[in-house]
Amino acid sequence: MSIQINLDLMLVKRKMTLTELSEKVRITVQNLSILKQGHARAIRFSTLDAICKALDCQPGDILSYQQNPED
Amino acid sequence: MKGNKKENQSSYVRVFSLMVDTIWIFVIVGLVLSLIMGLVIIAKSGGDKSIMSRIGISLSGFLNSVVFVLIIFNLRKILRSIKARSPFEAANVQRIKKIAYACFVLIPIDILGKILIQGFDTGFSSGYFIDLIWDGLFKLLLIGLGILVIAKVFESGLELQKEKNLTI
Repeated sequence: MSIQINLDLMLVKRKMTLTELSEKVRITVQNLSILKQGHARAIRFSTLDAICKALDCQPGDILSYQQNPED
Repeated sequence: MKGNKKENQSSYVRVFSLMVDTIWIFVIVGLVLSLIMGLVIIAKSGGDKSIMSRIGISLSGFLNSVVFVLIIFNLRKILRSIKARSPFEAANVQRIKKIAYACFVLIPIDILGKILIQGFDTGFSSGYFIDLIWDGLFKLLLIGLGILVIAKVFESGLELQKEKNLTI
């Protein structure tokens, strides 16, 4: 998929662990891990809202589009 | 309101599960009885049926029972997964398909058994075989095809479940 998830980058920038984020956004570590690894098929606005609030960032800081040469 | 609906649903499943469990006992008893009766029919000499006909009748009765056991066995497993609130799994799609194929397998077994019991000559002259085509062939064929459609619906449900699980 051409949509890249930069959650790990934002976590490093904010010096936060996945477990801490999961406690703040009330989403399980397993689900956040699925999101971080790019295995998720979709993301709810409510989840994006909570992550952006917790990491104090914009949706564009977490998601980015990169042209896939195979597409 | 929502909780009430869920309760109703689970009570339906419980009643249906109880029914299937009861049928399961009957089917197992039927399997044993069909085996014993089949052996008795084969061993019983005399009468108007040849030994080959008697073997055919016994075999069709036994195979019928085996197929019924397979159907109820799979049905019980599906019900268990519904009780565990995880009906949309790949194994259930396979189980439903197996039930449909079992219906198709029943067609020749059923027809052969009925033809052998009735006898070729009397069957043709009384018009019994025309009834047999509707009763044995088309009924089971329609049921089997209907179940295959349900399997397709379950496959779509499985895909939706995956989608839901991977929506964060």
